[in-house]
Amino acid sequence: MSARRPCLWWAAALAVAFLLPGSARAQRPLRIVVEAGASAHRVRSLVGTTPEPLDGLGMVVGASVSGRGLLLEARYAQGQLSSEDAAVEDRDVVEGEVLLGVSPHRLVTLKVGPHARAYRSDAGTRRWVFWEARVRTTAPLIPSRLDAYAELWGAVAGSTSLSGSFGGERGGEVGAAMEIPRTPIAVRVAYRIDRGTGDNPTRSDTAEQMVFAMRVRLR
Amino acid sequence: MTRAVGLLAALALTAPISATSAQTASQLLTAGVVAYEDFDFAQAARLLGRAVALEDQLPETDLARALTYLGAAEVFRERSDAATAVFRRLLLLDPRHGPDSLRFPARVRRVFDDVRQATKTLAATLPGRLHLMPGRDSLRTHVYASSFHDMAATIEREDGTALLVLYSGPIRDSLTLPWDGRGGDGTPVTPGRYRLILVSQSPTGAALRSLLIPLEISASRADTLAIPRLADSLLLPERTSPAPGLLALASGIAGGGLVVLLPRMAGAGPDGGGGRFAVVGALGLAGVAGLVHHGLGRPIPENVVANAAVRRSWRERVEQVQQDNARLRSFAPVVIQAGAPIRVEGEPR
Repeated sequence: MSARRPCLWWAAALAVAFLLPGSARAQRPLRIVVEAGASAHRVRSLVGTTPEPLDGLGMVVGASVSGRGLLLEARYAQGQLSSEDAAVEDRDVVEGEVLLGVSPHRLVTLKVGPHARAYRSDAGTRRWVFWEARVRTTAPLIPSRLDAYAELWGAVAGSTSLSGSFGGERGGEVGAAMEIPRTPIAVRVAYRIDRGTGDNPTRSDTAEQMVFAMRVRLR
Repeated sequence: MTRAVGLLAALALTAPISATSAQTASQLLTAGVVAYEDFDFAQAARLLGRAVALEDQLPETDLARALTYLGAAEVFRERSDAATAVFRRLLLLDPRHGPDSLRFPARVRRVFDDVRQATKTLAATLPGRLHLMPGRDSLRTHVYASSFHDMAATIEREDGTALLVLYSGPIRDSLTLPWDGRGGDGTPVTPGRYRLILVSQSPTGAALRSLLIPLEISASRADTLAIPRLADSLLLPERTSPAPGLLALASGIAGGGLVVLLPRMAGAGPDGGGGRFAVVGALGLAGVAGLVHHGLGRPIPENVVANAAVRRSWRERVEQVQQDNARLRSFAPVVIQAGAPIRVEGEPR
């Protein structure tokens, strides 16, 4: 995979951002949100023809800054995974992502950015790096109170520490966020899944997360 | 030659006789007036008598003129009975006719005045066709009398019942009788056939002669106001649209469906974790909450109140227009068409 392609996607996203009507961007006030929560992980690693089931709990933190139709979002998650199969080695999972987005419409956001994940065990560390393009749409179920959202993405480039080169990655997240009245706090519940594959289809990791987090709007 | 001259003389003698027999009533009248002015009263009476006999060919003014000269000629022929009969006929034709003082001597006018005093008759003029708003306009009938006497004026329905007694009392020379198009009870006249009856009465109240004038009364279309319509554009929505509620429910359900499908979309096959169904349930509940929040069209009280005021105002306007239309219809104009007068002796039939 060429190293130049992520740069092209970043450039395209910035171009779209600046092509937005000025009034559309100006109508979105600056918004800063941080969140922290718990996550339940479920990972299925495929090594050859043998799947390695792993489950565990973890935590997730994140922050986002948005305004004038632009978005900068960062997320970090970690957890400890274990398996009922004694032959499968326990491991830790750490992942993080930084995304830059634009909102051509108040309910639609386009994002691009890197997403990295590492599984660390005594046997070593397996890493994935995805350069993702995402689209997120929000449905206000109760305006300013309860939103549902869906985010789908795919990797336009990536790398992996698995033998062989990167094959691809697809994923998505669906959830709902409810703001607690008269407070800056919101509760978010979400399900996300992505699957990264090497160029050898017998090597893949499928990572699922159930997220329960609290958001605080700082501004 | 002698025989030819004799034939021409015979033709010359018979020609005036043939020409006279072929004369029209108008020519006879002219010849009679010329004879009268030449003091040939016998010839005048003869020619004018023939003109009067052809009264159908004469307009009323010429007939009156013929009768006037004929009566005068009879006066000068000392035939007072004939003169009286002629003048009486002249008065019955129209009481306004009579010998004028410039053309006829006092002797003739004296005889005529005697006849006029003895003859009680009426004539009337009224518009041939009139649009009348009952209660507001009036039909004015001008009545002329031959001489002072009592009279009665009545409007009768077709069945002979009286609609209104217009006048009952003396008449000297002329009288104007207005009728406002309403019956004796004050209600507007309804379309139909009516008769205006003018009766000349004796001092004892007996009917001497009557003048019947047919009246055809028809309705004229009243100009009423259009009933105002309540335009939808004046009304505010009284309930919120059900779309936001349904859209929220659909979004929740769609989100839940997407959670179920995400593993397949990510390429992980159907082997997704069962825990995701908790999120499916949460999204479903969120959709229901959105539906409950928006409702399937909730009432908007302020709009209900505003619309009630608009409807009340509209109903008031409708009632006002209906009242105005009822008033306009009650005073709807009628068309009165008068027919040719019919003169009868005695009581009207």
